[in-house]
Formats: sequence, C-alpha cells, structure tokens
Amino acid sequence: MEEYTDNVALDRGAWKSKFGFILAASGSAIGLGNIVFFASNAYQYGGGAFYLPYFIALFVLGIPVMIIEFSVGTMTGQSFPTAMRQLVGKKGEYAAWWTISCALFITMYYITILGWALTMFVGAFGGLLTDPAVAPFTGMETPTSGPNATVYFFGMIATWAPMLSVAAIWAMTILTLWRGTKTIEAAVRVFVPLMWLFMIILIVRGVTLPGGVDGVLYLFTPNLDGIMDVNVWQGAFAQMFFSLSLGLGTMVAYASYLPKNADQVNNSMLVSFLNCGFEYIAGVAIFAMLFVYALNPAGSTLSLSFFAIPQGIAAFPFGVKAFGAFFFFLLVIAGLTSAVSLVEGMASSLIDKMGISRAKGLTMVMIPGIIGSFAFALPYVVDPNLTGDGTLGLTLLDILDHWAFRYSLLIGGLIECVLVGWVLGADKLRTFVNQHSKFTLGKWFNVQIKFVIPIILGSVIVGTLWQDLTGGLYGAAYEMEGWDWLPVAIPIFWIVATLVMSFVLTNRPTHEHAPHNVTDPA
Amino acid sequence: MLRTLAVLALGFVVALPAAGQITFEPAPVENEEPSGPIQGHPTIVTLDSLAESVQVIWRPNSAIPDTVNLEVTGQSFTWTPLQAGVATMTTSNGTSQNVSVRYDSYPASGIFILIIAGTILFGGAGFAMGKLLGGEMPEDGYQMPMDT
Repeated sequence: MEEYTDNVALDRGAWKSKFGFILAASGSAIGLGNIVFFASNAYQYGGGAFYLPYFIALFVLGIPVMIIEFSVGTMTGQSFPTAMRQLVGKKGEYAAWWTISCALFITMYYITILGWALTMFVGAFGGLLTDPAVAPFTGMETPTSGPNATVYFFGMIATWAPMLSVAAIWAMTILTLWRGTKTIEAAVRVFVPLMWLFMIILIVRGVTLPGGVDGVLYLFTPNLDGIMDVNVWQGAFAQMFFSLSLGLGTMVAYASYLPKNADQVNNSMLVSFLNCGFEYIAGVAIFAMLFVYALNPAGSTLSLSFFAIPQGIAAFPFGVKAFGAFFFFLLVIAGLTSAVSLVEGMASSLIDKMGISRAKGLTMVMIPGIIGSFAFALPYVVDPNLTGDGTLGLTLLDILDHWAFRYSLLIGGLIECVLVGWVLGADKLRTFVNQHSKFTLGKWFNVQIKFVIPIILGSVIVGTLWQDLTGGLYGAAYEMEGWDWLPVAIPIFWIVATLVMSFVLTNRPTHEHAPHNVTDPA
Repeated sequence: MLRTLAVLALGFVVALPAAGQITFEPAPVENEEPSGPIQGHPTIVTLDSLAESVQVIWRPNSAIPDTVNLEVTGQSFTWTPLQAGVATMTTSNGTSQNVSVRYDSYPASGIFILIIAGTILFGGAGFAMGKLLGGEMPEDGYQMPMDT
C-alpha cells in the first residue's frame, strides 16, 4: 500500500480533528429524508417489524458500502472520479463522473426544496400555522380550501417569493464551502448539535401530548403481516442506501481530507449509527405528534414535511409558532449540511481533475446549480386543478426526482462495489482498511463486496424498474396544460445529459497535483 | 418521493369538510380522562347523517392495510375497536375521517423493540465514539487530534 501517499502531506485541505470529520459526515448523511422518510416507511411496512429488514440492511449493506467509500477517499486522497481513476482506471472515473453528474441534478432540486422550507420557516412567524384553514390556493382553480399549511404551500410555490429563498440557500451553501474543510467544520459544529437539540425539543413536545406515548409505541409495535413481502425488504435496503447518502461521491470527498491512517471501520460505524439514531428519534417525534391528531404518517418527504407535520404542530395547545419555526429551521439546517456535502463532492472532483482553484471549482458547480434550482422553483401554473403538482417547477422536480434519485444512487453504488470488488480487488481494499482499523475485517467482507451487495442492489434496481415499466410512465397521468411531454422528455434529458457530462469530463486531461488548499489564490 | 404529494394534498382537502362529521365519544375510564377511542373500550360513534355501512381501514395508505366493516344501527352506534393505531372511518355516504385508537395497556412487543433498537443504535454509536476517543494514536503517519 506504499503507493498511496499520506493525504495530509498534500496541499489540498484536511479536517482539523476526528470530531470535526464525524460531525461533517453525519451532517451529510442526516438530511430531509431522515426526518420524515424513515417514519413513513416504518408506518407503511409494519412499524416495529420494519426494524428487522432495516437492521439487516444497515449491517449487510449500509456500513460495508460506507467503509468502501471512506476507504476509497483515504487510500487516494482524491475525490470520487480521480480516486476511481487511480484505483480502477478510466472506466471507474467514467462511472464516478456519471454519479457526480446525477448528484448535480439532485442538488439543484434539493436546494429548491430547502428554499421552500426556508419560506415556510418565515411563514411560521406569520399566519402559516395559526390562521384558520381557508383558501383559495393562490393561482390554482380548485380545490378551494384545505388545511392552512397545505394552502400556504401551494400558494407559496405559485409565487416568485421562493426564488429569494433559493438564492439565500445557495449563498449559505457557498459561504460554508468557501474555505473548504475549515469553514465546513466551523458550520457543522453549530448546525449538527442544533439539529439534535431541536429534534429532542420536538420529541419532548410530542410525547407530552395526550396520547403521544401511544404514538411512539405504535411506531415500534410490530405488525408482522407484511414481513415476507419482498417490497418491504426492497424498501428497507433502498431506504438505507438513500439515508446514508451513499453512491453520490460525497463520503469519498469528505474522507479524502482524512489522513491515510484513519480507522474507517470505526468511522463508518459511528456515522451510520448516528444517522440511524437520528432517524430513530425523528420517528419518535413524528409518530407522537401525528398519532395524537390522527394524521396519517404515510407519504413523501415533501407531503409529510410541508403538510402533515405542520398540520399537527398547528393543533398544539400552545407555542405553535415557536414549534413551527423550530421544525422548519430543523429542516433547513439538516438539508443545508447535506447540500454542502453534495456541492463539495462535485467541486472537489472538478478541482482534483482540473487543478483549478476552490473558488473556480465552486463557481463551476454553482452556476448550473442555481439555474437548475430556479427552474424547479418556477411558479408558472400548469395544473390549476392540482391533479399533479400544480406548478411547472414542482412538476419538473417531481419527475426528475423519481428517476434521478431512485436510480442513480443505487446504480452508482452497484458499479462502485463491482469495480472495487472485482477490478481493484476486495482483498486489496480489505488489507488497506485492516492496516489502520481496530476491528479487523474478515474474508467475509470480500464476499460481501463482490457478491452479496451487488446482488441486493441489482435486485432492488430491477424491482424498481419493473414497477416503473408495469405501472405506467411516471407523471403521465398528471393533467398538464401543454406540458404533457414532460414525463417522457425529463428522463431522456437526464440520461443523455449525465452520460455526455461523464464522457466529456473523463476525457479531459487530469491534473497531476490538484491543489485546493485554503491558501490557493481564488 | 413525491408520488403521493398531490394525492395527499387532495386527501386533506377532501377530508377537511368532513372533519367533525363523525364524532367519537369514548366511554369513561376510571381515574383517567381519555382523549379518544381506546382499544377494547366501547366508543359511541355519531355520524352526520344516517348511513348504510361504515368501513374502518386500519393502517391506511400502507402496504398492509386491514379493513373491517361495521354494522350500523342508526346515526349513533357503539364501536369497540379491537386494535390500536391509526384508522380511517368511511361511511357509505362518502364521509371519511381519520381516528387514532389508543392502547388499552402499553404493548410489551413495542416497548421491547423500542429498547432493543435504541440500544443497538445509541449503544453502537457510544461504543464507536468510545473507540474514537480512547483509541491509541497510530504510530505511523499523521497524528490526528480528537478535537480542536
């Protein structure tokens, strides 16, 4: 392993402490999905019974893939594409750039969602949660009434106001990244503890409501009816992959700022447990709140975050505005720490590849990123009857999310495992990890990387694709005035654009020594 | 991620006018002030208008819903929910309302999984944090500080 340089010797930035790295990596993993998505899945798949496939997914898939991603970063001291080029050659770099290109699309709409959350946060100080439920939905024809948060949301996305919030989120993201690990570490030292604190406040509020404890026990009491259903297991494995932010290149980028001798087994366990622990307490808070007010926990991240939970908070006996503000601020900071890692994964990849300054790398990500985020916030109403998503922006986001998010992480993870396991050699990776780890990985780890994980991910991908092929083209049922071609055009555009970007970036000359240290000239 | 967004929004909107049209009056429980129906306890359900039947879907919008049809004898009837949890009650007239049924006594299986899952996750995090804090510094390479 002598061919791998000690990363801290390179002039490209480094975490100042182990604790800073753990905060940054767990902040990256804990995002919007952790707050509500786990609770929704647990409800849909049998409450406590869902923990069985969930824990199996954590130990069989989550922690091992995180070990791979962290180790790829520390072995090479490079971000995802150049690391894969160094380890497995050009095909690895091509696959990594495809993943990074997909991450760009995901970041665009992720920041739009954060912009909406920021606008809702501002609205929480006004009448968002306290006024009576009235309408009409601004810009929409029907329906004409609804719970206040729902009315506010659809009214809000049909205006230009979220554009300002989107710009503010991008500004915060870039400021956090401006001086690399130094500013990221400073930000996560504030944001990550705040996330835990706010979630604990919401738990205390939830369980002290009459019936709140019943809600918590409803989350954990197992209903074994669906445990043999293949969809439950598929849901658990996909949930684990999405939850830990694997397959996006972010963990590789963060680990590349660690010294080569970092213990990646322990780091992977710690980050994974913290991530899943946050999901656990978020589930407690949400089930307590929603059960008390007989609200259904099944739904998407957006519908739970922007409709169901605010509706529950609005029914609190006191402190409605304060708890509403806590909740939306929690969404913003949880999402921001994830957005920061997504942009860092892309910017550091460009910096390592081209040998450009950090300012230039960030600008190259920011310009298309902001354009995309604004496109997803477009308030132009295409569906006034709300048979689909209402505005053009939300429709674009919905359809792209369905394809980019559902497939790119899983495909990226599958290719990563196959390349590392078969081309680099699972044994080589395992030997490297064991050199610095307190926990020795046995030969079972090779079997895991080469066979078990690829089979699981392949099955989930095929299963998801089968659902899409047999269930009709996603979004085609929406009534969109003059925009009916979007469900066909968006996935084609996404595939072509990401493949072209990967091809172009892979075939650019690779810079020998990539400097992206804080002392670099901007 | 967003598949149910619009459906849920519409669902809320549809449900809103129905709110209050089905009311629940739990039977008094000794030394306790119940705030809703309780598993195994008779509850008086009052409908906004006479309906031929009432359907209860337990764990609605999930992969494992459980449907029970109730016999309706008038605009008000007594219902004894046999399980706890979130349910949707829909009348043959189309009126629909969600209801949470509380546990009669806290389920041991729920408490067990709550403790086990918490122990695995936070015990695991604590164990790994302990290793990180108390680990020996590597002899080779860069000596990274625990905190700054």
